[in-house]
Amino acid sequence: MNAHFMGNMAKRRGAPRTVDREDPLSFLLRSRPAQEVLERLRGQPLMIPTELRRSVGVHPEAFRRLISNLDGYALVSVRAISSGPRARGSSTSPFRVPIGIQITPGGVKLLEVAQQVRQMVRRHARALPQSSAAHWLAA
Amino acid sequence: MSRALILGPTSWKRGTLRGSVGWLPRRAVPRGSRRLDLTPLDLRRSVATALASRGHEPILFEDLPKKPNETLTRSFRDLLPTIAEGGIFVLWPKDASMHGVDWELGILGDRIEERTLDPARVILLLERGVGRVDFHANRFSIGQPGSRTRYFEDLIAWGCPISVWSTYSELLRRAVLRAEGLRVATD
Repeated sequence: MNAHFMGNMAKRRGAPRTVDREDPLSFLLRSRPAQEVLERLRGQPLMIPTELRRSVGVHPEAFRRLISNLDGYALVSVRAISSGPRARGSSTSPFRVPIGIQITPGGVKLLEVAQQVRQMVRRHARALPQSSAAHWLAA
Repeated sequence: MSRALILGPTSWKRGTLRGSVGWLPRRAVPRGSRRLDLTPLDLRRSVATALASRGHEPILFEDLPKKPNETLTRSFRDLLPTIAEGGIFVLWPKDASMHGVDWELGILGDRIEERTLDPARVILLLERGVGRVDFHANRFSIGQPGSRTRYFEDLIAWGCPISVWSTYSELLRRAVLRAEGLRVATD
């Protein structure tokens, strides 16, 4: 992402968001929970958010931020579970639908790349500084 | 290069003023825009500018040259198959008047029902405050009573991806990354 193009927009206070700072691959390599979420989602048509969160074992707020980042990078999609017409409610009452989370084709491809990078790092473990090895070779 | 159709409202609801184009990144300001009175159409043009800067071919239906004796409906119907491998972005900023978009959204819903349009390629970009994703309750909800369009609800119900943004820069970034993701899916 062009840093100038996206950077000078950040006129709000506080630290820039993750998606302001990183590209999708860097994020995925850095965030083990993100990789775990994508691995769980791979091959699944759609997963219920609470089931996905429990399977990964992440705090609800951390999970919300994680999915927001993954969605921001277009690695997952959040969409309604029911794909079809629904009963009409009143236009003055809130519209609510059950949702699920799905990995995108781009997410599948990026996950493969990230896993290959990790495998390559493992193969060259002896060349790594100890601190890097501790981070990259952790189970 | 992938094509991206950017749909959405043109104006705010009466009496709403939502800031200036000065809030946008300089390179995303559409040519000829005034410094004040940023409209939803300006926002869509900014998304188009951002997509063009990343090598996509953005399309605003308003800007398409119309052939003589061709109706808007025919023109829109003819346009959709040319986007089959690209994406359609439906933008919904808070306090925008969505009723003018009904007709386009209705045709999109029709194409999805006919299975000639993949709902995964129709990305719904909603500003925070319009819609809320609740991961605790596993549901998505839209407020905006009296303002939302039933066709938009149909697109959600058909499983089009929902992406909620907070700032204009986040909107542009999400649109660009989604377009790149759709291109990866096509390759």
